[in-house]
Amino acid sequence: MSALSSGDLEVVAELLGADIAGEDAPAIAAAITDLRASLPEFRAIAAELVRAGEATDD
Amino acid sequence: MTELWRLGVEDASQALADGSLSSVDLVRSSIERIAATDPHVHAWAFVDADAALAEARQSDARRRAGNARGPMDGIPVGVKDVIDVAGMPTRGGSESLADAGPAERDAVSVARLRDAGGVLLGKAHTYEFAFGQGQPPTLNPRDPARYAGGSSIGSGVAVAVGDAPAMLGTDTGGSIRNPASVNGIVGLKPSAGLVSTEGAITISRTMDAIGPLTASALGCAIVLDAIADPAARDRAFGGSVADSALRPPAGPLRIGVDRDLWSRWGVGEPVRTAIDESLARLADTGAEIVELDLSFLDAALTAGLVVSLSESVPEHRSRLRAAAAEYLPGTRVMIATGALIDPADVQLALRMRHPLRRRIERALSAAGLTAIAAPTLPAGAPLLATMASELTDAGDGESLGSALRMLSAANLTGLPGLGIPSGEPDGRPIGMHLLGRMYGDAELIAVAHRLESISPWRARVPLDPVISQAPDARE
Repeated sequence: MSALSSGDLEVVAELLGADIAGEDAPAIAAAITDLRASLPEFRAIAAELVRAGEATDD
Repeated sequence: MTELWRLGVEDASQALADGSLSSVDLVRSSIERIAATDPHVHAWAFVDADAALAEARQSDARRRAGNARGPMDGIPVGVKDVIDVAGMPTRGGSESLADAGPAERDAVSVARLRDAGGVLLGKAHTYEFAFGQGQPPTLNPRDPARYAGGSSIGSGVAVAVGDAPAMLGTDTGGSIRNPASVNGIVGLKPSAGLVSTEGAITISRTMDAIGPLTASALGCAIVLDAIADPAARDRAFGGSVADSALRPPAGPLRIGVDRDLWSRWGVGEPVRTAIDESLARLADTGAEIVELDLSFLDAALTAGLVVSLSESVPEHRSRLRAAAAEYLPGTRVMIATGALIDPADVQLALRMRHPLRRRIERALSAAGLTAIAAPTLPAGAPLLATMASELTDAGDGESLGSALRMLSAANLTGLPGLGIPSGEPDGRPIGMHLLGRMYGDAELIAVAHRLESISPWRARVPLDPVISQAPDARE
């Protein structure tokens, strides 16, 4: 099971308050871990789209 | 005589115009239908019958004086409860706004609707702030044990049961088109820039769209004519969306499909069969169905999540500061996830939007296509007891795990997406999704109207008659 890093927890605490951030931390950690797992593929596809778009821009 | 609540926008509009119907009678019929159906389906968060009847009387007076404002004048409409209507509270499906007083002014879309003579009935239930978390009280009118749709849930159910011929919803990743599919009605995510979101609580300032849910295809066009920015509408459609949708097409209709992509999305066999049958009906009218590789559409999912979740943070920061404990934990988790996304990824997602749009539009123009067709959702309405709450979960044939993946491209690129009915196997409606070029809204509606003309959609209205059907699952 993943946990939020101290830096992430600080961001979340600033947004939700420290108490609720602590309560929600496990669920937030799971959600951001899932999202970050999809980012390498997203970055590759997005970079290719941006490059191709720049190459074909009128 | 046809009960008035059965009339779609265009039929009601025609009857009002030819003097065979008054707005007061039409609105009274809606109010009576709401009273009969809402104990079963709980679509409405707030109804102001007296104000609606007063507006209807004003509409009838305008018409008698020869000053009718157009096709929407006198037509009853409801609004998803994240969009402000002056005099009605906006509670956004959230405990954090349970004590909200009446909004002081209309959202821009509502003000335009009112200027066009639309009669505001009330506000429809939504998932909390449209995030899709928790469970609003609204029930599926065909089977209360099943899912009733995404965040414009009350709007979808209200149209499905005949409470109103049109409702407004919002759509960040399918929240208009998803409940349209589940409820067997029409839902349009309009082209970006046509309809202002000012005065609505949004998830994402750049991906959210306000659009109509209606019983008929032309109803969508008539409502869009009313709520769109007039200058943008005139530029895009040379005047009226409805007139543009009814204009004879310049050439043969060609529709693109990528059935391999449907397989990767986990589209179930009954859905695939229903969509293929609709495409075959269109082919019978002379349309050509073209198989293409559209796998690049999958790129929209993660980019859409990155943009929408990161943009939800500024939308909710001050409200969370005041009342985080009153948000549902699931909603807080989604917003907090957005706060943890690397700004470099947000920038990359923003930069890929235009190239992705161009790629889609090139695919359309290279093959001479009007639309890309696909199932709106991978399955009919699943059982609430067994469906996953996470819309991006993988799952079996009953899962809606691919829903965001299938619908996000329209929001990310700003292109129009239209969800239309496509059969009802086993009593569960299936939706077909049409993705078009920028400002191709009227072309998509024309395709839908063509299909509706040869295969009418409203053969069976749920809760008709109301008595003894769909008992309230909570009783």
